[in-house]
Amino acid sequence: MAQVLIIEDDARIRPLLMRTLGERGYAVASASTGMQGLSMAVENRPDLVILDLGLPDIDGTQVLTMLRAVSDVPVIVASARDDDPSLVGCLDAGADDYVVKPYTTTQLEARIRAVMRRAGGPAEARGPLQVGELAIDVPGRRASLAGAPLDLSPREFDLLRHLAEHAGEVVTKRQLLTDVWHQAWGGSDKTVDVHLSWLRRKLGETAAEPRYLHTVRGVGVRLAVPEG
Amino acid sequence: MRRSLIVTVAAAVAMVLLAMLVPMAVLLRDYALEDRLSRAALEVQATEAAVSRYGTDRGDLGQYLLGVNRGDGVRTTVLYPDDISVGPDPGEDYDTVQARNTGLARIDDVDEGVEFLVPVSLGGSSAAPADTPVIRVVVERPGLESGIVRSLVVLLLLGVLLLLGALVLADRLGRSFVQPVRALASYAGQLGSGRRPSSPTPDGPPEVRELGAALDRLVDRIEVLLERERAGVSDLSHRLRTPITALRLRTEGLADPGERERLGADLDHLEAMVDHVVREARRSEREGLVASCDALALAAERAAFWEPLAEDQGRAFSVSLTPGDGRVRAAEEDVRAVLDVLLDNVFSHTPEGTTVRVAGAPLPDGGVELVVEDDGPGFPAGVDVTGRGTSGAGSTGLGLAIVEQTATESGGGLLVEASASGGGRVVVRLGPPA
Repeated sequence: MAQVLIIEDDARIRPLLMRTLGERGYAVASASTGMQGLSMAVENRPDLVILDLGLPDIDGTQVLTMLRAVSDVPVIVASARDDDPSLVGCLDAGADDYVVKPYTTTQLEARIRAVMRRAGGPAEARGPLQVGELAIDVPGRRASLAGAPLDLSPREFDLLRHLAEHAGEVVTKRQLLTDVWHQAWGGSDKTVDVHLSWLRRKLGETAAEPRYLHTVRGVGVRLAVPEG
Repeated sequence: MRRSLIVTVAAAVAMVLLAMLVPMAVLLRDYALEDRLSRAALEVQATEAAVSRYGTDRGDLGQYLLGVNRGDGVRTTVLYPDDISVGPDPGEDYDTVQARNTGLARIDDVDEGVEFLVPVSLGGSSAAPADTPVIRVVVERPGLESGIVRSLVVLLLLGVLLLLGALVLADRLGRSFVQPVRALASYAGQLGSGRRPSSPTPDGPPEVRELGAALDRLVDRIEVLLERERAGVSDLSHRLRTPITALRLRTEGLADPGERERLGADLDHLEAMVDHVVREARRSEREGLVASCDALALAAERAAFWEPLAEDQGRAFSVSLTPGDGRVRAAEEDVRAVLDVLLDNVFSHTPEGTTVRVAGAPLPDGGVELVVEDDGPGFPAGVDVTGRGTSGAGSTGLGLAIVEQTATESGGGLLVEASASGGGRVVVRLGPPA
């Protein structure tokens, strides 16, 4: 049973998260302040930390920095701050993922699973994600097709990575907006579509003649090894 | 400013010089005439003595007068009654005869200047006119040939020197005013373009230094307010989104799937509204000190971004951008959002294969007009598509409201109409930078 530590000051969210994650099989502990959370993270050595940024004693970003100085526990930042500086700052400071409030337990759990999967072993040992001739080096943020490097924008890389992590599965556009764009509720399907179009171009295929990227009309998109 | 100062000083100094030099020139001329008259009076006295001494010996008198008449401007002639004269001006006139006959000296104004007529009685006080030669001294008015010209030239040169000196001083003074003002203007200009350069070194007159300090204080104040607003928005975002998260988590726990779905949809709408509120509250943070960007360049960029999707969907996608000044009063992020909303709407609400046209052109008075139109079914009749919350195809309905807000706040506006083919046509006018 994975142990999750929630550092969240909001008295409404904390018990709800503890209950819902507990119901889904996690051993959940919680702290309402940054200092308490730090001390629990060091003493209890949880498998994952969910960290809010707006804490009453010290800012969550500082908690993250201090935590990273003593532990490599996976951290998902769960915050209402949706501006780029906060998001980028946290990821640069060592956060493994960032989820913008409001979120649902289902989304949070999917992220917990993904982060823990990635944290399952050293990156070198896991090697790059491979789908047919498509290779994705996640830590190095590089991708190549049949050995030729692909020139991808950061968003295109994240999209491709997410699809590769779910290779063979149909991923809905809403899921992509949530997981890649961090827009659980807003955002437009067409934003996903246009990025998929760009990705297709860079993979050297078209919507009419797909090879890796297959649109499942009305459902979503699937990344799969080309047939034949 | 420097040129104005120089012109003003030049005009002022020229007026002073004119007021000084013209009377001086007149005085000089009068003084020269006075000088000649004094000399003439002395010559009259001396010639009177010479006439008395030489009597009728006109040869010696002639020699004497040659010496006397060597100077400029005064001509002395002795007129004898027998119509013989010694000196440069022969011949008698009525005045000479009068002077001889009456024995009285006289001074008259003549064309050339002033004429002295002094009768000299050779036969004592009762001498007859026949024994009375008349000394005629003509004093010419000083003209260009006299020393007065030299004096006038000296005065003129002095005037020119004074004028040049005043101009040099005015230029120096102007520069001492203009350079700090120019530095301040450049500083303000850079602030106007959205950058915060280092403050100019305090220099120049106290008023300019004070203005520079005031400008600095103002910018500091604006930055503090922007920072405060940024913190406020961050707090607002936190305050609004945290309870929504709690609501989301509670909704998930509902046993009734129908109820869960309804509440979820309501929360979706609430969330979209909160996003919009937070986004609008962040407008000044995005814009910084001055909002400005090149809308035409962004139109080209966004059209290029959406073009692959058009290709995938088999749409004809035309882009027509008129080159020119594309600067508008809006943040880059907002103009990008405007274009993305308009194109997203076309892709979301028209069938695949529908033609899309993007156009952009600078407006004559500054600013840019952006047009996005399609050959689709057009906007639904009787619906205010720019109204908040009016949505179709599952969107939040905030898209065109966001576009309208950006357009209005830039000093422009939004026009939603039918295209020539009956499809949708959205015209966005963005105002020029402040």
